[in-house]
Amino acid sequence: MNVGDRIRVRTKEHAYEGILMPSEGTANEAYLALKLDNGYNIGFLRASVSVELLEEGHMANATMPPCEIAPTLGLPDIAILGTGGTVASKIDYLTGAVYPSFSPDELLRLVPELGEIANISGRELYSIVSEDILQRDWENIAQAIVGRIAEGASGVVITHGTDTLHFTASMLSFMLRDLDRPVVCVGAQRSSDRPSSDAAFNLVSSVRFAATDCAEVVVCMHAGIDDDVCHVHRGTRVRKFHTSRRDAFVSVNSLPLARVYGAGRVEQVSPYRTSSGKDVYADTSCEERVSLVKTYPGAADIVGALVDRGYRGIIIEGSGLGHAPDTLHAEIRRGLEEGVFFGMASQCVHGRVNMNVYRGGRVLKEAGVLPLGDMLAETAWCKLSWVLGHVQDREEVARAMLLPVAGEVEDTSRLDVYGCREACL
Amino acid sequence: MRDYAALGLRVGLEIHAQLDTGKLFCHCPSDLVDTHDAAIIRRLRPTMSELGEIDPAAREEFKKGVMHEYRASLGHACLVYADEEPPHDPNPEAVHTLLQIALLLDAVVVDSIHFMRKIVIDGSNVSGFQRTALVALDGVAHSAYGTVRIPTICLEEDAARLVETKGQTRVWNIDRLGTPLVEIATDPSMHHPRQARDVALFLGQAMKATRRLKRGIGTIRQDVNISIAGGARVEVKGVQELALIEDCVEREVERQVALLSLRDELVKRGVGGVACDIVDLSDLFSGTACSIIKGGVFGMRLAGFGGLPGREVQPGRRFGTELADYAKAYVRGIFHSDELPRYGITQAEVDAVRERLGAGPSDAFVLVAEKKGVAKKALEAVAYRARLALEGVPNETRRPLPDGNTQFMRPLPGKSRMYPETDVYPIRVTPERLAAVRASLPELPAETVRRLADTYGIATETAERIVDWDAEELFVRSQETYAMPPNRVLRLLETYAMLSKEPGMPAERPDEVLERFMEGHEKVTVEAYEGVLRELVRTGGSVDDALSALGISSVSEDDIRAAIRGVLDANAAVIAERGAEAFKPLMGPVMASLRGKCDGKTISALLREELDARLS
Repeated sequence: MNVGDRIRVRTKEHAYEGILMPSEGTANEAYLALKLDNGYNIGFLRASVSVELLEEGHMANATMPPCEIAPTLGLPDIAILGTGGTVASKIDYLTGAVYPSFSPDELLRLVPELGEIANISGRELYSIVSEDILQRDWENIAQAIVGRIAEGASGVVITHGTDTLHFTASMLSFMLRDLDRPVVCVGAQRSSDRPSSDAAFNLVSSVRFAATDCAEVVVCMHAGIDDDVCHVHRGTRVRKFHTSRRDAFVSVNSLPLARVYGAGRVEQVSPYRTSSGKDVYADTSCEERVSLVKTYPGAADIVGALVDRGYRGIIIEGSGLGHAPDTLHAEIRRGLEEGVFFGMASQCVHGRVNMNVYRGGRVLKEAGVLPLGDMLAETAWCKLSWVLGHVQDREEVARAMLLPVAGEVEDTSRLDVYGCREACL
Repeated sequence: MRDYAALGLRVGLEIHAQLDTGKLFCHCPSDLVDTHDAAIIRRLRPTMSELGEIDPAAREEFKKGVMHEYRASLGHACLVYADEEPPHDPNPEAVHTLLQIALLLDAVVVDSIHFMRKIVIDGSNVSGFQRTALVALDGVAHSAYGTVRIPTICLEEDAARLVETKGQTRVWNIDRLGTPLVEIATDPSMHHPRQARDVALFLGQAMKATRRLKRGIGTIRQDVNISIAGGARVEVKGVQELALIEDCVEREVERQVALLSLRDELVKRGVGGVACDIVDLSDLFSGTACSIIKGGVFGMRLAGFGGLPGREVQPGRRFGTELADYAKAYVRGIFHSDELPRYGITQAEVDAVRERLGAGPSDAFVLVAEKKGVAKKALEAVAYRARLALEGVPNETRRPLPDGNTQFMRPLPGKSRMYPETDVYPIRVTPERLAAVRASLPELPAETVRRLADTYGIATETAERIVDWDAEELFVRSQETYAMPPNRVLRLLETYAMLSKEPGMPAERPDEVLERFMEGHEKVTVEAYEGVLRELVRTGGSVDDALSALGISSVSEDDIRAAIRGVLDANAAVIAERGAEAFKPLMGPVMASLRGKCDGKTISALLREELDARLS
């Protein structure tokens, strides 16, 4: 018997007809799930019922009628590349499963307003949950973006799961050299099957921003929990701060670049780079043996093992101004002696590391750990991977790490920004 | 008396009751609060069906730019019902209560409970869907008219409350959103209005037996589905009083019978259709005395409908009212030919209208006083309803009116779109768990009445009133702990029921206050119940505190006799002169000397005794 079959389930006293559903949640074969004709699903303990096949099922695989789309003169051509996540997806109402939709047809059907803003072309690159993304996926995404720009797209939108959206935005910021137009990374915090999803507004706002003269990789997501404004964040300056709120993404140590309003207005908030007139290319060389390590009181044995396994670079997400406990110092020293590059960012997230203030910081700095200023730990990890893909000499790596490539590190700490405060109710 | 069986009456019930367990998918309380600390602005987007279709009405609303403002009070709402956080595990107390209700109704509990998402796009659910789960099937309800099957017992979320509509923005309060609701649906097999009432009562009592229902207005809502042979299914939505169910069914039967006879009349007259030719009649009313007409007047002939708009379909409601109800989506009202001349419209104006519309004596007409666009929509709606009359009874959702009549709300909705709620893991109801629920099932109210009557020797009627008030536990304590006479307990509950209508009284009965009263009940005279109870609820002190605050201190019988003797001593002359007749003039001074510390009945008995003693 297969999922989708029409079956009859007999209990001791009653019989129920309906459609066999997929096993609930994780593989639990002890229960079977039945969709009754009234639309409700109910579960039976397999051992307590007998099941009879009434009719083999044909899982509804409805093909939608095509949606006529002719390019509109005067509208920008925006390419949408899908990598997974639920920002643009359709639901199988039978099983509740969510499938990505990326044909221009499907996108326009889901979010018809897109057709009024731009000529959309869509393509699915991957369909993965974003925590599973790998270095080589970023290389492919970068190449695909360059390809779409070469085909004439005036902006590119990347739909992406939100868990690692900021890693992707950061990595692409380094890989896309001489970028001459916007690359907008967008996701959804609330699934797109629900009428209240943030997906459509995020997507519409992203497409609007993808038509501006900005020449950076950015993240575009809800600014608050109202459906009225999206924030555009610099790709190297943004981080996910909330597990579920639609305003989970917040710029750190910097202001957002722009706001996109529901009515369509795009308002620039802080300066962004514009095209230098050169053609974009993808420089994707990376060192995969780079790790990101968070310290904690009494931390030990979390660096030595990486050194032993041949890691070339380690970003330490230390405490406070850039400290690691004594229990970790010997491992770090050994790593430095073996030529591993160490950079220090802070688990405070907000603010800048300074390894001169306390003795512990001075000791590590003198030993060779590089303080990374106001760079986010996640961004530092991406950057070190990319830098080590190009240079290996310690001095050169250190110089490259502190040289701003995509707005990821700055000398000035602004008086007027302190992250998520403005995003709260 | 109608022969309901001959009419082919079929009634089904869907009962919704709120559970007093806190919200279903978060840990917030579910009480109602009228203040708010936060307002969230949202848009709801119509989602695609399996076939890639979007409901045109939902899309239209979205395109119009309908916004929703959700008001929330901190402490009463969290991220879950702002749709900013996935649901927590289902409230275990609510699930337990559902299992109890299912077993009380002899239903089959499913082995695994699956929550579903039911798409609701009107904004009443922040997420755009309502979560609902089928917990049990195939229960039974008993009534003197026979047994009724209960196909489904569900656990679902209540919706947000609409506060107001400001232009394109609907303002909601989300305090009620997520309150667990029991939904019990019967099959449409009831065949007498009285049976619908009895079954509703039976189901209500089974739910109340769990002692987990919310109390108060609007916490139980009944939807009643009614049809007769040749008629159509009509859903009367949100009947809040049990007594009204019977009336609603009777009145709806009356309406369907009237509409069917109206159809037969139309067939007899050979009316085959309704044309919607809208005519501008504004010039005919340029000098009208009718204050409702401010400018444009548009009209339409209803050919062959002569005399029908005035025909009664329910007491006080005419077919013209039915036409008007459809037009009310656009205008405040219509005029129809059977009610004119009236409202300042003269016979001459009516004649002119008839002439312009070409409406003869066998025709009716309808007028709308509005701008052209609005008037057109209203008259089209009237024509649509008139066309439905050719079929007989339209499928409708109707709202109950206080007298049992009903009023059109909207056409019956189609099948709702439902798909699995993937954020909530199914709940396993193991045989062990079910056995544990079965072993500790609460008694049904009828059993409680019997137990109270038997145990405490009170009349069945008294026990019923106590159960009706949900005061069984309180009553048991009054007997076991405070030895309060049952009639005094009843008096106390009656007094509270009366006081609870005063402004500033708590929404829920404060049982701890009533218990404090019981603790000191011997010190309170019946006359002082109201004052003392009000004081207790207001200040929260003890009976002694209340008595002294009210200037009433309790007095012993000896004290009363001493006071009486004092008055008798001072009035020896009166007693000598009038003998037993002195009772009357002496009562006043005695009462005054006790200043309300004791009830008049006791005083008068003791005064009589003391006086008799002196005279003998």
